[in-house]
Amino acid sequence: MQIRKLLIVALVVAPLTAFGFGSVLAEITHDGAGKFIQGLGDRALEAIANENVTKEQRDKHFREILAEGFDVPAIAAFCLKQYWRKATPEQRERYVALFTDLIVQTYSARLKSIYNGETLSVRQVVSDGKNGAMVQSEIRAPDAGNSGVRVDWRVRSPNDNYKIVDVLVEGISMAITQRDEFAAVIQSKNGDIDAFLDTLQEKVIKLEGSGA
Amino acid sequence: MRSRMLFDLTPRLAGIFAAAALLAACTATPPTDPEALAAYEEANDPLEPTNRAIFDFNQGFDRALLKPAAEGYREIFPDGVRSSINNVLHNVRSPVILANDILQGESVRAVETITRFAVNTVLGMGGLFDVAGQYGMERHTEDFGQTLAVWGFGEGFYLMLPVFGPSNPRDTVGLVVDSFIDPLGYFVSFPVTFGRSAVEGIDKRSRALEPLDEIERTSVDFYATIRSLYRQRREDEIRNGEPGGNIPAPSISFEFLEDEETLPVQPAAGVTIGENARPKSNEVSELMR
Repeated sequence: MQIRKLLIVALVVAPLTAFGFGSVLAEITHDGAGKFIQGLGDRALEAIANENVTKEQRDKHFREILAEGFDVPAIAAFCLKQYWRKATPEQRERYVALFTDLIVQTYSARLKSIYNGETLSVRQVVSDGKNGAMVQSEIRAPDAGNSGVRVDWRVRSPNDNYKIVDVLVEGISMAITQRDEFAAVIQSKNGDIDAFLDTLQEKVIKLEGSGA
Repeated sequence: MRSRMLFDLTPRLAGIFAAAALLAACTATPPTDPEALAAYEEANDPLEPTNRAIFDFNQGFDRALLKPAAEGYREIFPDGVRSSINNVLHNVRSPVILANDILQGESVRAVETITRFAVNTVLGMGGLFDVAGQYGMERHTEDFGQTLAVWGFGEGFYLMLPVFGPSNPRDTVGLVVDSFIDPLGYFVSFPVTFGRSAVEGIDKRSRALEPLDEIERTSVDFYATIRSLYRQRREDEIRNGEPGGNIPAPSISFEFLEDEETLPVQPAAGVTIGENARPKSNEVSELMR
C-alpha cells in the first residue's frame, strides 16, 4: 500500500513540480501552434501554387493571410527599433501602412519566384517558457531528396489566437534582417524618420508597379 | 615542391587584399547623436565606406563574370550532373571538414564526416552520388572560422573581401587556415586548386540566382541586407543549426508584447513583468487601434 502511494506521488506529483503546472497547460497550447502553422502554411503555398491568378489577386490573398496570421504592427515596431519610440503617432501610422505594403510586395513575389511545388511539414514545437512558442518546420520540394529548407515560426498566443511575430529561414530571422536594413537606411538619412518613410514609399511604389 | 609553394594562393591573396583595404580604409566617424551612435555600434562596420566600395566592385564582378558563368553552368548541365558536381566538391572538402569537426570537439560529426567520405567515395563512385545522404546521414560543413568562434573568438568588425564577399577578420583568418589544412593543395598543382575554387564559386552562385535577384530587387539597402544575412547565417552555422539560445534580440525585443498579452495569466506562471513594460505595451495597443 505504501509503495503504491509512493508510486502515485512519483508519477503524478513529481512531473507537475518538475515542469510546473503551467507547462502541462502549455503543452496543449503548443499542439495548437503547430496546427496553426501547418494550416496557414498549406493555405499560403496553395495560394502561391495557383497559376491562374494575376499579381493583384495574389498580392491581395497574401495580404489577407498576413493580416490573419501575423502580428504585423508588432513586427513593424520591432523593425524600427529605437526610432519607434521617437516617432510621432502620424509617423507610426504611415510607417506601419508602408511596412505592410513592403512585406506584401517582398514576400508575395519572393515566394512565387522560388516556389517549386514545395510542401510544409511541422516537425517540432518548442515552448519559449511563456505564452509563445517556436514552431519548427521544414519546407521541401517534391524532388529535393533530403535537402529541405528549415523554417522556424515564432508565435505568440494572446487569448488562444495565434500570431506569428518572426520567421526564421535556415536560422536567419526575417525580422532582424529587416530591422538591420532599416537601421542602415535611417542612419544614411541622419536619423530623419520622414526621409526614411519617403524612401520606403518610393520602394513600395516601385515594387507595386513591377510585374513580378 | 612546386605545387606546395603555389598551392591555393587565392585565399592568401584575399588576405593581402583585406590588409590593403584596411590600410586604405577611410573609416567612418562615429556619430554623436545617441540613437545614431547605437545604430552605428550595432552595425559594427567601421570600414563601411571602403566596404561599400568593395561591395560595388564585387557586384560589377558578379554582373560581368560570376553571374553569367553561373547562368551558363545551369543552362549547359542538367540537374543530375550539377548535383553530382556539387557532391564531388563537397566530398573533396571532407578532410577540411573533418579537421574542423575534431578541432571543435564534435566527435559524432567527425565520425559522420569519415563515414560519409568512405561510403560516398566507394559506393558513390568517387563522390558523384551522395549514397550516405540517402541513408539519412546528411552532409554538414565546417570551416576554421567556425572553429575559432567555438574557441571563443569574436567575429570582429564587418569586412567585405574582393571577390570572396562578406567576411570579418575571424572568418578571413579561417579562410587562409583552411587552405593550409586542405591536403588537396599538397597533392595537385595550383591551377587545379584554383579551378576547384572557381567551380565551387560558380556552383554556389548557380544555387542562389533567383533568391539573390529577389533580395536585391526588394531591398531598400542591398548592402545592409547582405551584411545582416551574412552575420545571421554564420551565427547559425556556428551553432550547427541548433535553435539559437544566443540570438537574444527577437525574444527580448518582443518582450513588451509578451508582457502585454500575458498580463492576465502572468501571476500563475510567475514571470516578472518588466518595469518599463507598461508604457511600451501602451504604445502597441495604441497602434492596434
